[in-house]
Amino acid sequence: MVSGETARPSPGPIQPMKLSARLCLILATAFGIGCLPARTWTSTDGSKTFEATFKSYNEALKQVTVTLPNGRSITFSINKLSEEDRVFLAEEASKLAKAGANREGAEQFAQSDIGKAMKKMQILDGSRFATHTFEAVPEFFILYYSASW
Amino acid sequence: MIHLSRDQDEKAALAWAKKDKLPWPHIMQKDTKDALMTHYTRAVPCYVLIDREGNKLAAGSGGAGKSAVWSKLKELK
Repeated sequence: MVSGETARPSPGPIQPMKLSARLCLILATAFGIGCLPARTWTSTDGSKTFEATFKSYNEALKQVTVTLPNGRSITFSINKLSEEDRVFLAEEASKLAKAGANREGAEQFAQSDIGKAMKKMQILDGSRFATHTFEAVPEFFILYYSASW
Repeated sequence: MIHLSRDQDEKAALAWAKKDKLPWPHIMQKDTKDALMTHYTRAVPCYVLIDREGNKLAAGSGGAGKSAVWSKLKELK
Protein backbone atom coordinates (compact mmCIF):
# COMPACT_ATOMS: atom_id res chain seq x y z
CA MET A 1 0.00 0.00 0.00
CA VAL A 2 1.47 3.30 -1.07
CA SER A 3 0.02 6.75 -1.69
CA GLY A 4 -2.67 6.66 -4.31
CA GLU A 5 -3.21 2.95 -4.00
CA THR A 6 -5.95 1.07 -2.21
CA ALA A 7 -4.92 -1.56 0.26
CA ARG A 8 -6.67 -4.87 -0.15
CA PRO A 9 -6.51 -7.99 1.94
CA SER A 10 -5.02 -10.90 0.06
CA PRO A 11 -7.65 -12.73 -1.97
CA GLY A 12 -8.62 -16.33 -1.47
CA PRO A 13 -9.06 -18.46 1.62
CA ILE A 14 -6.82 -17.84 4.56
CA GLN A 15 -4.16 -20.50 4.71
CA PRO A 16 -3.44 -22.22 8.02
CA MET A 17 -0.78 -20.22 9.74
CA LYS A 18 2.40 -21.75 11.01
CA LEU A 19 2.96 -21.66 14.76
CA SER A 20 5.55 -18.91 14.50
CA ALA A 21 3.16 -16.70 12.62
CA ARG A 22 0.38 -17.35 15.11
CA LEU A 23 2.79 -16.56 17.87
CA CYS A 24 3.71 -13.29 16.22
CA LEU A 25 0.10 -12.28 15.92
CA ILE A 26 -0.72 -13.22 19.49
CA LEU A 27 2.34 -11.44 20.77
CA ALA A 28 1.68 -8.39 18.67
CA THR A 29 -1.58 -8.06 20.52
CA ALA A 30 -0.22 -9.06 23.92
CA PHE A 31 2.68 -6.66 23.80
CA GLY A 32 0.70 -3.75 22.45
CA ILE A 33 2.68 -3.36 19.27
CA GLY A 34 -0.06 -1.05 18.03
CA CYS A 35 1.33 1.47 20.52
CA LEU A 36 4.57 1.82 18.55
CA PRO A 37 5.03 5.26 16.96
CA ALA A 38 4.08 5.80 13.35
CA ARG A 39 6.85 5.35 10.82
CA THR A 40 7.35 6.08 7.17
CA TRP A 41 6.85 3.10 4.86
CA THR A 42 8.34 3.10 1.38
CA SER A 43 7.29 1.29 -1.80
CA THR A 44 9.53 -1.32 -3.40
CA ASP A 45 10.92 1.12 -5.98
CA GLY A 46 11.21 3.94 -3.44
CA SER A 47 8.92 6.26 -5.37
CA LYS A 48 6.06 6.41 -2.83
CA THR A 49 5.80 6.68 0.91
CA PHE A 50 3.11 6.80 3.58
CA GLU A 51 2.86 7.14 7.35
CA ALA A 52 1.39 4.34 9.43
CA THR A 53 1.87 2.47 12.68
CA PHE A 54 3.01 -1.12 12.61
CA LYS A 55 0.32 -3.38 14.05
CA SER A 56 1.26 -6.97 13.23
CA TYR A 57 3.15 -9.18 10.82
CA ASN A 58 2.01 -12.53 9.50
CA GLU A 59 5.23 -14.29 8.63
CA ALA A 60 3.52 -17.27 6.99
CA LEU A 61 1.51 -15.14 4.58
CA LYS A 62 4.18 -12.42 4.31
CA GLN A 63 1.59 -9.81 5.13
CA VAL A 64 1.82 -6.80 7.34
CA THR A 65 -1.01 -4.93 9.03
CA VAL A 66 -0.59 -1.26 9.79
CA THR A 67 -2.84 1.44 11.21
CA LEU A 68 -3.21 4.62 9.20
CA PRO A 69 -3.43 8.08 10.85
CA ASN A 70 -7.23 7.99 10.35
CA GLY A 71 -7.40 4.86 12.54
CA ARG A 72 -8.14 2.42 9.72
CA SER A 73 -6.12 -0.78 9.66
CA ILE A 74 -4.95 -2.23 6.37
CA THR A 75 -3.23 -5.48 5.48
CA PHE A 76 -1.01 -5.97 2.47
CA SER A 77 1.84 -8.05 1.10
CA ILE A 78 5.36 -7.09 2.14
CA ASN A 79 6.33 -7.48 -1.52
CA LYS A 80 5.05 -3.93 -1.95
CA LEU A 81 7.54 -2.62 0.59
CA SER A 82 11.16 -1.53 0.36
CA GLU A 83 14.01 -3.71 1.53
CA GLU A 84 14.45 -1.45 4.57
CA ASP A 85 10.83 -1.99 5.59
CA ARG A 86 11.16 -5.73 5.19
CA VAL A 87 14.25 -5.72 7.38
CA PHE A 88 12.27 -3.74 9.96
CA LEU A 89 9.50 -6.34 9.89
CA ALA A 90 11.93 -9.22 10.24
CA GLU A 91 13.51 -7.53 13.25
CA GLU A 92 10.12 -6.88 14.87
CA ALA A 93 9.09 -10.50 14.33
CA SER A 94 12.34 -11.67 15.89
CA LYS A 95 11.88 -9.38 18.90
CA LEU A 96 8.34 -10.61 19.41
CA ALA A 97 9.34 -14.26 19.20
CA LYS A 98 12.20 -13.71 21.64
CA ALA A 99 10.08 -11.73 24.07
CA GLY A 100 7.43 -14.41 23.93
CA ALA A 101 9.91 -17.20 24.57
CA ASN A 102 11.46 -15.32 27.49
CA ARG A 103 8.10 -14.54 28.98
CA GLU A 104 6.87 -18.10 28.60
CA GLY A 105 10.09 -19.45 30.08
CA ALA A 106 9.94 -17.02 32.99
CA GLU A 107 6.35 -17.98 33.78
CA GLN A 108 7.19 -21.68 33.74
CA PHE A 109 10.25 -21.11 35.87
CA ALA A 110 8.31 -19.06 38.43
CA GLN A 111 5.96 -22.00 38.96
CA SER A 112 8.74 -24.58 39.38
CA ASP A 113 10.05 -25.61 42.80
CA ILE A 114 13.31 -23.82 42.09
CA GLY A 115 11.56 -20.73 40.86
CA LYS A 116 9.41 -20.63 44.00
CA ALA A 117 12.47 -21.04 46.21
CA MET A 118 14.25 -18.25 44.37
CA LYS A 119 11.47 -15.85 45.21
CA LYS A 120 13.10 -15.83 48.63
CA MET A 121 16.35 -14.36 47.32
CA GLN A 122 17.91 -11.49 49.19
CA ILE A 123 20.91 -9.36 48.40
CA LEU A 124 23.13 -7.15 50.51
CA ASP A 125 21.87 -3.59 50.39
CA GLY A 126 24.06 -1.44 52.60
CA SER A 127 23.75 -2.85 56.08
CA ARG A 128 20.73 -5.06 55.51
CA PHE A 129 19.37 -7.74 53.20
CA ALA A 130 16.85 -6.63 50.59
CA THR A 131 14.56 -8.68 48.39
CA HIS A 132 16.14 -9.59 45.06
CA THR A 133 14.56 -10.79 41.82
CA PHE A 134 15.92 -11.70 38.41
CA GLU A 135 15.31 -9.28 35.55
CA ALA A 136 15.48 -12.31 33.25
CA VAL A 137 15.70 -15.97 34.10
CA PRO A 138 19.28 -17.19 33.60
CA GLU A 139 19.89 -20.33 31.59
CA PHE A 140 22.11 -21.79 34.31
CA PHE A 141 22.61 -21.28 38.03
CA ILE A 142 25.62 -21.89 40.21
CA LEU A 143 24.43 -22.73 43.68
CA TYR A 144 27.02 -22.06 46.33
CA TYR A 145 26.28 -23.82 49.59
CA SER A 146 28.14 -22.32 52.48
CA ALA A 147 27.84 -20.74 55.91
CA SER A 148 29.50 -18.18 58.09
CA TRP A 149 30.82 -20.83 60.49
CA MET B 1 25.62 -17.47 41.34
CA ILE B 2 23.28 -17.83 44.30
CA HIS B 3 24.45 -18.40 47.81
CA LEU B 4 22.49 -20.98 49.77
CA SER B 5 23.21 -20.12 53.35
CA ARG B 6 23.37 -22.96 55.84
CA ASP B 7 23.26 -20.45 58.65
CA GLN B 8 20.37 -20.96 61.03
CA ASP B 9 20.89 -17.43 62.24
CA GLU B 10 20.14 -14.81 59.60
CA LYS B 11 22.06 -12.22 61.58
CA ALA B 12 25.20 -14.33 61.31
CA ALA B 13 24.66 -14.69 57.56
CA LEU B 14 24.17 -10.96 57.21
CA ALA B 15 27.27 -10.21 59.26
CA TRP B 16 29.35 -12.49 57.05
CA ALA B 17 27.90 -11.03 53.85
CA LYS B 18 28.72 -7.53 55.06
CA LYS B 19 32.19 -8.43 56.28
CA ASP B 20 33.22 -10.09 53.00
CA LYS B 21 30.99 -7.86 50.82
CA LEU B 22 29.40 -10.87 49.14
CA PRO B 23 27.87 -9.52 45.92
CA TRP B 24 25.59 -12.39 44.96
CA PRO B 25 21.98 -13.10 45.98
CA HIS B 26 21.41 -15.20 49.08
CA ILE B 27 18.73 -17.64 50.08
CA MET B 28 18.46 -18.38 53.77
CA GLN B 29 18.00 -21.87 55.10
CA LYS B 30 14.81 -20.90 56.90
CA ASP B 31 13.27 -19.74 53.60
CA THR B 32 13.72 -22.91 51.58
CA LYS B 33 13.48 -26.26 53.23
CA ASP B 34 13.70 -28.70 50.36
CA ALA B 35 13.76 -27.43 46.80
CA LEU B 36 17.27 -26.04 46.87
CA MET B 37 18.72 -26.47 50.30
CA THR B 38 18.97 -30.23 50.55
CA HIS B 39 17.96 -31.59 47.15
CA TYR B 40 21.36 -31.28 45.49
CA THR B 41 23.82 -31.59 48.33
CA ARG B 42 24.23 -31.45 52.07
CA ALA B 43 27.93 -30.63 51.89
CA VAL B 44 29.49 -27.29 52.84
CA PRO B 45 31.11 -25.58 51.07
CA CYS B 46 29.80 -27.00 47.84
CA TYR B 47 29.14 -25.77 44.31
CA VAL B 48 26.33 -27.13 42.13
CA LEU B 49 25.56 -26.14 38.56
CA ILE B 50 21.93 -26.54 37.51
CA ASP B 51 19.87 -25.49 34.51
CA ARG B 52 16.56 -23.66 34.79
CA GLU B 53 14.72 -26.98 34.76
CA GLY B 54 16.63 -27.97 37.88
CA ASN B 55 18.84 -30.60 36.26
CA LYS B 56 22.15 -31.04 38.07
CA LEU B 57 24.96 -30.59 35.56
CA ALA B 58 28.04 -30.51 37.75
CA ALA B 59 28.86 -30.43 41.44
CA GLY B 60 31.67 -30.75 43.90
CA SER B 61 33.02 -29.62 47.22
CA GLY B 62 35.55 -26.91 47.91
CA GLY B 63 38.04 -25.73 45.30
CA ALA B 64 37.66 -28.84 43.17
CA GLY B 65 33.92 -28.35 43.05
CA LYS B 66 34.33 -24.74 42.04
CA SER B 67 36.66 -25.75 39.19
CA ALA B 68 34.32 -28.51 38.04
CA VAL B 69 31.33 -26.19 37.94
CA TRP B 70 33.13 -23.39 36.09
CA SER B 71 34.61 -25.84 33.57
CA LYS B 72 31.18 -27.26 32.84
CA LEU B 73 29.67 -23.81 32.51
CA LYS B 74 32.36 -22.75 30.01
CA GLU B 75 31.71 -25.94 28.06
CA LEU B 76 27.99 -25.22 27.92
CA LYS B 77 28.35 -21.56 26.96
